[in-house]
Amino acid sequence: MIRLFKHPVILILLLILCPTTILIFLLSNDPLLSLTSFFSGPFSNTYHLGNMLNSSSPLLLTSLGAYIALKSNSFNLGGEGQVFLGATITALLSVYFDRYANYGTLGLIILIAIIATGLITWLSAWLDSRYHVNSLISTYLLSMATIHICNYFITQKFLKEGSNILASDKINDLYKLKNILPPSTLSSGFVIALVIVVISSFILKYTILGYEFKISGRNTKFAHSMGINSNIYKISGLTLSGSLHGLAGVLLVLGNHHAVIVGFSNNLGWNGLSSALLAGSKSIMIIVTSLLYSYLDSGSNYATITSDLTIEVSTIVKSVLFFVISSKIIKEQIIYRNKK
Amino acid sequence: MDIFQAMTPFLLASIGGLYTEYSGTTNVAIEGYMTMSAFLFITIYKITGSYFLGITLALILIILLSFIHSYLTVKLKANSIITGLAVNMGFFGLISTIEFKLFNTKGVIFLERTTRLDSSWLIVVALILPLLTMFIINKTRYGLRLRIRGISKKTLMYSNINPDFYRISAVIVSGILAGLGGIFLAMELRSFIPNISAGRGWISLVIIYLGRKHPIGIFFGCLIFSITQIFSNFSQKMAIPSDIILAFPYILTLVALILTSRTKVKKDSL
Repeated sequence: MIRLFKHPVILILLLILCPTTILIFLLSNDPLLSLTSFFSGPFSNTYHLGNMLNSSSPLLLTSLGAYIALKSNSFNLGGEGQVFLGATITALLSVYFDRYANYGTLGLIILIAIIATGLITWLSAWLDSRYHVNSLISTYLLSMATIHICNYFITQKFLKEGSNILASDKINDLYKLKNILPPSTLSSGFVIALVIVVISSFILKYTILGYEFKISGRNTKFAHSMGINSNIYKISGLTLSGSLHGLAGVLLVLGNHHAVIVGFSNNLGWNGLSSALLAGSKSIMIIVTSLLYSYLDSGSNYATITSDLTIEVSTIVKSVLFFVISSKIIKEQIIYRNKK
Repeated sequence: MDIFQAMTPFLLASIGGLYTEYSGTTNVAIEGYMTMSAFLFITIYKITGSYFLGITLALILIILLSFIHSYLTVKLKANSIITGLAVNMGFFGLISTIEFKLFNTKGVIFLERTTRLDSSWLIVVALILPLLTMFIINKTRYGLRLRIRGISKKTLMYSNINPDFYRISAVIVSGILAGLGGIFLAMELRSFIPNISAGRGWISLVIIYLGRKHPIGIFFGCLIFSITQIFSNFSQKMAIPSDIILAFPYILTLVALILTSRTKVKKDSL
């Protein structure tokens, strides 16, 4: 029985349950209602379930992006900005070139978004290898700067007239991804994200390319002495991570919001990073952890509507989780000992 | 006087961060501590109406929070950058939750218009701080051991000195100083705004690297950044849009980082 409690998944579930319950009892005037709406809310009907899955589709991609950056032995802390840049480019270009709306244009726009976000992280990676500017800091700084510049373009140039939120015009109906679970907003973007995650984890696990990539992240000197050009893998890892974040932004526009709204990529980057850390060494686990994170978020969303909780409850729970997943002691003493 | 006012939060936060830097880690949560202490100060001031009580209680709570943060990080052997980010995230969550509970708002908390908060003593403290830090780091037992903690943990362990104490205390010191910076900002504005520190915590981190982890270097780093801030306030009156101005410090920070590291490379190659 005790062995069962030491299983990582059970442990993490307990670690989510305990702080959430404590917080709800502290904060809410009607704890039982809040608790039930927090935990069972997302599964209460198709609408909420579909919305939860839909919000997890960009998160899947950001988690994969953060995971790839982690595997190449660098941190990408600029996820927020990259998602927002990808979304802004997609929405603004498709609004601007609305006259030429067809699938070819869409492909071109997506390509531009992916390349632009990739370029931003490539710059960080290049600065790291050339000038030894820590990519941890430069990705964050660049992302903050891009967020502000994107805000400028949305609010000053492309602001939807007569709108009471800071958003651009809606994109063309042709571009919107198909809804696969009405009445919810679940779009086919979820399937696309899932397929991308599965394919990339296959590549990482079973191909020579993936093996070389992982080795050069884990031990640069060893990789170098084996004749692997580890510097290229490191730079391309961070670049790919940026592109995946950009793709998440594209999905966010095409599948979820159909426009770009100021601040709508709220926490996608940070959540992606923490769910990648939570997934640990197995990339396929990203699917589970991303779903877990969007479950937490939509749980607190649902609880905000039905009870007197505030939406930040999930933020606090996530910050507790952060402490736990980055802990070496817990990994060594509980999880690995269990495996022996 | 303007320039000293702009410098004070940077100086307090970055000198605080310097202590953790000496102890061998980076305190990424400076931003969170600044916002949290500003929030605590304004809240306590609004409830009790006492200036002195506001500062002391806010600082005591900050000490408690930074102790929990650093104790858990050291004892769980967690990655300090990730836990710092977690603290940032958790603080912002906590602030808006408590704010909503107490004042039923998630926005700005105003004090009465007539309140006068005397913040000039903090400017003096901030200006003395670099010299004081130099003295502490170079001349006192605590400072020397703190530096050794950053260089080699084993040296302390073999001398039968508790190495964890120095790391935990460094985070607490940086929490207090960043907290003072936040309180200063709150005093200037006489209110609490959700994003009151506006990236100052992050810029302070960069100032530490710019100043080559030396108090005097940090002083000049703060000087440069406060001049650019005053300049950006000035340019707001001209036709430059505010979003571009907000992006400006981050880009400038990056450029400063590139320039300083470039000279480092040159030095090595000679």
